[in-house]
Amino acid sequence: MAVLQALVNGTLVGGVYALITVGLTLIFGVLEIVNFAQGEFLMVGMYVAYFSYVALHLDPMLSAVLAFGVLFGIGAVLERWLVRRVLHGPEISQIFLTVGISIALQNAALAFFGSDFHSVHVPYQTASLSLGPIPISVPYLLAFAWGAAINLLLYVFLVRTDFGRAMRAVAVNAVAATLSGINVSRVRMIAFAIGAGLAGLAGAVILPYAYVYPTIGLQYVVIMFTIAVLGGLGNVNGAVIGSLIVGITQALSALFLPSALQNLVVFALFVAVLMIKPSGLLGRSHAH
Amino acid sequence: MLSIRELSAWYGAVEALHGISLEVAEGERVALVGSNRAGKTTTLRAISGLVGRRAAELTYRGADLQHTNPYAIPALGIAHVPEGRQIFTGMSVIDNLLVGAYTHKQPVQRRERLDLVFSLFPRLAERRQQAGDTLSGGEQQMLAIGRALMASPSLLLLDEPSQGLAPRIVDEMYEALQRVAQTGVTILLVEQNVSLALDFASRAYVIENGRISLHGSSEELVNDERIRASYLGI
Repeated sequence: MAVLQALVNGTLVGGVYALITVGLTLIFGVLEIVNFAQGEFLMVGMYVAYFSYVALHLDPMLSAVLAFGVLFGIGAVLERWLVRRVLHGPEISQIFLTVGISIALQNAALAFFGSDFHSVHVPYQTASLSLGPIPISVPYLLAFAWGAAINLLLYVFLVRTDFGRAMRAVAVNAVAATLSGINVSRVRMIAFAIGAGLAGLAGAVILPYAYVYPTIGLQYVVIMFTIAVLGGLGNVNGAVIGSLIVGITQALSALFLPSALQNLVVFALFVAVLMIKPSGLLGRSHAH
Repeated sequence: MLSIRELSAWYGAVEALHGISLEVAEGERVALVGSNRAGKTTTLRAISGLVGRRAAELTYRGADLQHTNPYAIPALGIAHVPEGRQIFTGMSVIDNLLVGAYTHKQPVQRRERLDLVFSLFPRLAERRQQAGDTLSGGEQQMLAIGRALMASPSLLLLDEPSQGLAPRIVDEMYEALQRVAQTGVTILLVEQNVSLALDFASRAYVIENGRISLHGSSEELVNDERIRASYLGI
């Protein structure tokens, strides 16, 4: 029973991880840039949801759409004016830029919003449903539902639409994409904006069970990168599978390890996978 | 149709083309031949805007390619089949073809183009769901040509379509290219295999060290002593 409960919880958490990670993966897949500011995009999304709640009494499940929009805009502007300039530069410049953006956003949040922890109060905060004998936390279930919906939408977008196909084409061969009439710069800008927007949306949907403060992004960024690399950096399906594996592993290992060691098994698994397959579970076997 | 006067092109600071001029008329088949690194591929890349270039004239049907964004050139009717095929790896045959049709959104037109490509290359139809990079070399070349044809081009730039392929596959591909040309598509062909190129094209330019050294009808060139000695090995 405890194992079953852990599996359910792990799957729910994994679905949320998938939502948090998929933006990072999309950005790396299309722009080949590692975005260290992704955790801060999530943090800004949390604040958007928090202030929407304070000012408009909007439920974070709804202000998630607003958070997506705000971060999409921020992402587009950052790509257009900053990220674009380092795409063909050395990796060190790319790292400095995205780490710089993350520090700037953290400090901006600290300056404008202070260092206090904030949360929201929603009616379903402590509610749970029961699936047979197993209780399921409603806020986790709602966040999972958003994660599942977004990943499905993203899949349909990438596989079925012209623009999604163009995005995949840019990801694997920008020159051939240009020769097919695709505006590669614009596709990259929109991929970055969607990636940022998804982090913002993720921030909103986790707010019912998490506190927001300026450095909250740091807490998520480690798990984000673990999952993205485990699944194969740049591979959207890999990020989903990696998320579920990490979520379930955490929940199962909590059964026999103290919670302070919750991530020990995850990192052991992470190291083991990379030793066997350095490009990650579904990673590209060849780099461009 | 395609007018090039005094075109120079650069890779970084290195000048690879030194003022070449060439002309391709509507419906023509023109070949650009020469040895390795003579500037053939660079010429096509310069037309498509993939390298830094400057020209006294670089126009296509009156449109100034020097003032056109590279991604906007396919919409003018120029499709470029690049050297080494450049298939979208991990994407299916059908997705590769649909990316080729990116600038043509109408479903009816797309279906017609797909039918045309599949009738030219029936093997692509058989493998439509297979990842493009798992095809054989010949099939990948057909896919690259098919992808270019999806854009309904009026001018096709072909870069070494015979490279690395078995003679039988090369024959098959050139037969398909004959049929493409018969539909009224103008072709500018780059080939290292000079006899193949002169066989296919009605006119050819010979490029050496980034300069045009000779041009004329294919018949004249086949009988030219210099060509016979340096390129045809006769």
